[in-house]
Amino acid sequence: MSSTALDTAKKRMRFLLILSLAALLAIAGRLFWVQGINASTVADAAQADRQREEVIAPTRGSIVDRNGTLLAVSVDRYDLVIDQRDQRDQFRRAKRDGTNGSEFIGWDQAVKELAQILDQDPAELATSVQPQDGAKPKGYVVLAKGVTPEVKNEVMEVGIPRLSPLLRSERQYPQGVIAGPLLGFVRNSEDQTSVVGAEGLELSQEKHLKGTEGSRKIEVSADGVRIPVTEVEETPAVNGQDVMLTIDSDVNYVAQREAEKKQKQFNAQWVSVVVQEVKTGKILAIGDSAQLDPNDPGATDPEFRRSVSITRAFEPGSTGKAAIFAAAIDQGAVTPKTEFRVPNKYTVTKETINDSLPHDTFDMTAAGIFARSYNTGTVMVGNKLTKKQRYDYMRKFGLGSPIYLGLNGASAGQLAKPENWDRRQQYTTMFGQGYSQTVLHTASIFQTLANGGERIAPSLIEGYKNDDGSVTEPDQSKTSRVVKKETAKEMLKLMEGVVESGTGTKMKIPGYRVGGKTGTGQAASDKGYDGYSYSFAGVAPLDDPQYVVVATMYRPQGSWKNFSVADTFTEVMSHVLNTYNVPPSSTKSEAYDVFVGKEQKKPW
Amino acid sequence: MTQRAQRRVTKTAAMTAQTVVDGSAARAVRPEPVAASELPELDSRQRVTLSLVPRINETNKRSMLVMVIALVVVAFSVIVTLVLMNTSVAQRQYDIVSLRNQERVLSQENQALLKEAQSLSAPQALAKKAKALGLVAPGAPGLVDLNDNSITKSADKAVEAEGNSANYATLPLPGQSIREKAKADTKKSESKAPVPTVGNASKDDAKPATDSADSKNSTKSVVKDESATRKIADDGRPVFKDSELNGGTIPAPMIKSPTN
Repeated sequence: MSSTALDTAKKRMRFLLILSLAALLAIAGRLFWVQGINASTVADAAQADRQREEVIAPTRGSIVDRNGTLLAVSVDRYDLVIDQRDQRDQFRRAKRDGTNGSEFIGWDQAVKELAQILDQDPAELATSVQPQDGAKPKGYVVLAKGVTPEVKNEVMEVGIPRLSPLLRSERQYPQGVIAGPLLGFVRNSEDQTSVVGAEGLELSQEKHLKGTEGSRKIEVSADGVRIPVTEVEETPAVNGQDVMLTIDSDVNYVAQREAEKKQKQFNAQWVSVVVQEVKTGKILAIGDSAQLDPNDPGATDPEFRRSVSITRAFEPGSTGKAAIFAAAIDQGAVTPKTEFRVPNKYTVTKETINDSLPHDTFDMTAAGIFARSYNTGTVMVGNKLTKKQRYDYMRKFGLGSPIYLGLNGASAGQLAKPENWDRRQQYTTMFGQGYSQTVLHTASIFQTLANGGERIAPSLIEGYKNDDGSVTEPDQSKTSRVVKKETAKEMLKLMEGVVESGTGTKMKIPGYRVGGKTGTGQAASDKGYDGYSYSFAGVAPLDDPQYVVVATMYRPQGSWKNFSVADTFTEVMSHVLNTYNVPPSSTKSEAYDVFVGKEQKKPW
Repeated sequence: MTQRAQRRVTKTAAMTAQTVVDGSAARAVRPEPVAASELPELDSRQRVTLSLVPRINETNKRSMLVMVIALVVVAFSVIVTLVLMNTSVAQRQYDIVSLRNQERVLSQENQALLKEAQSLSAPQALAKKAKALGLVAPGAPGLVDLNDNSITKSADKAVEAEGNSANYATLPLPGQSIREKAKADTKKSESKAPVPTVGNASKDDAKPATDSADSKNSTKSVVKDESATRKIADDGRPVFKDSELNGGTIPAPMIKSPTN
């Protein structure tokens, strides 16, 4: 072998070696890249390819009353869906009589059994189970919606192939109509698998009730079957919070029942009964005469699907005098014993104020004017204050701004600025006309007076109960001082006079000292004043006020002289006092004299 | 090469070689075989020759067998353990699924029972039952002053049955539709009071109880009349008047006036 040949061979070998080394280096480099530097990306890609993510739906929170009674709860329901395609004439199933073995059954038999379980007409059901007369078989036909798990299990036993249950959450209201307009109702979510709030608390508390979705990550092989040994990554769903209300469902029942009864008695457009705790501002009951069953909201007139107690503003009439008298006493303009000569007609700045019934001219105390609810006297009292002063007090009592309880559609009422009051309005606002408010505003005014002049914003939500049992408190109710403590005390005596010897003598409750104010207001429509509102707002027991009950009837039919909500008020108030074991009053009445002088019994 | 051979020899001492190589040329003589154990010390530059390996004795053979068996057993047990673990993990997964199903079934059962209990204890349901049992609302309770042991107020007697103002069981029961309730009430009222007029209730103040009953009946019969006069067409659908159908359009929502 020549040396050149040897050199060539060596060169070739070296070349090959270098080539191999280069290839090796490339492979090693790639390996290093894949395993070392880019490892996580590649692993992720592989993981993503196998991984499937399932959503775990959270359970919607319940709504409970203050005693823990369930008012709204979410339950599991199933939709039964059948795929009509590729079905044979007969199918095999496990025997239903409990014995072992299987049997073949035909469609007629299956439909018959199905119809019996679902309580549907067999002929009608057959049309949805099987395609009719050569029609193209459908892939998705809903046979029944929202069936209970028991029914679903029974249906599955029939063994119809390609009949599948779809789980969905349904909202139920076990108490029926109790607090219906407050709870509101729900609608199906976009994907039809759950529900979302549509009205009332269900809507306003949506973010609390809803909860957070969880997820479950599983790995599946190429054929779609789950790989059993792989790790399951599970983020549990956080169930919605339970909303605890300040409502007592028993009291609410009584309020609703009495409201309904009163509505029927006078054929009123609506009647509302509101019960509020004096010391906390918490709403104990809101009873509307129109019943709403949240299980079937469509059965109720749309107008009454929200609580009228917070959505409907009306001119309150004489209950509005309470704010004016409180303002006058608070400003020191009058005392309860300040004397007035009260005629039947009183003309001031060319505006004549009439009393509802003709009466003689009386020498009365301020307290007496309040007790007998004379408009003329009230104007004399109110005139001791400026328009601005009265307006400011009315605003402080909460008039003219909506009371937000967590319910949508809360009405602010209408309270014009004093500079915009016309010549008559400046007087009518003293006796509850010329501005409007809701029943809840009335309750809030009387709560303020009964609570020593301190207004606590009404609240409906006691707290939110988390999944682990802990309770999250809602934001504290705003408190504000409206009138002095002494003023509030005097106002209670004035209210007692109403029940003792004034317009509210039928409101007495045996054993308890009761105070309050009646109110007959004219109700306006676009045709002018063509109806009435009639109400009584009362507080008991007066020695240590605990509860406010406001009974209001809107547009009752018949003569206003016959209107009465006495039985409504006394029934609800005595029920509340009994339920909460309020000790009876042990002190004597502190009502002031109505008239100046000895003689107190004078004709109306 | 030579370096390595030398190193190996010094290390083991069991392997050696005869001087069969002289420089780079092989010797002509064929060396006598020598037992590997008796190899003499070597010159470093000499090549290692083949030699007889001493026979492995019996004990070594047996330990080898034991070793192999042990290894096989270990390997086998590892495989079995792995398989068992895999199965148990898989089984666990099935257990989890079945427990989950069980949990769902139980919670559904719980839901159903709870709901039933709540519906049965709803105030209006209780009121209805109480009424059926002949219970009436109590009168005002009596009051005893504990300070001076005096009766400050004696209890009122409850008003019996029909006269009792607190007419319980007027609200629809849970699960009872408001529509059904209205219908049922109308039927009842029809048989009792055929044609009461609307709004006569408030005129007579003396008998509020009977009045309330009348007006209740009247409002309900009005509702009933409306539904009763609705004709049903052959196809099972109710017949609406043209005015009711509003020309086939849905009326725009009306603004709710607060004073209305």
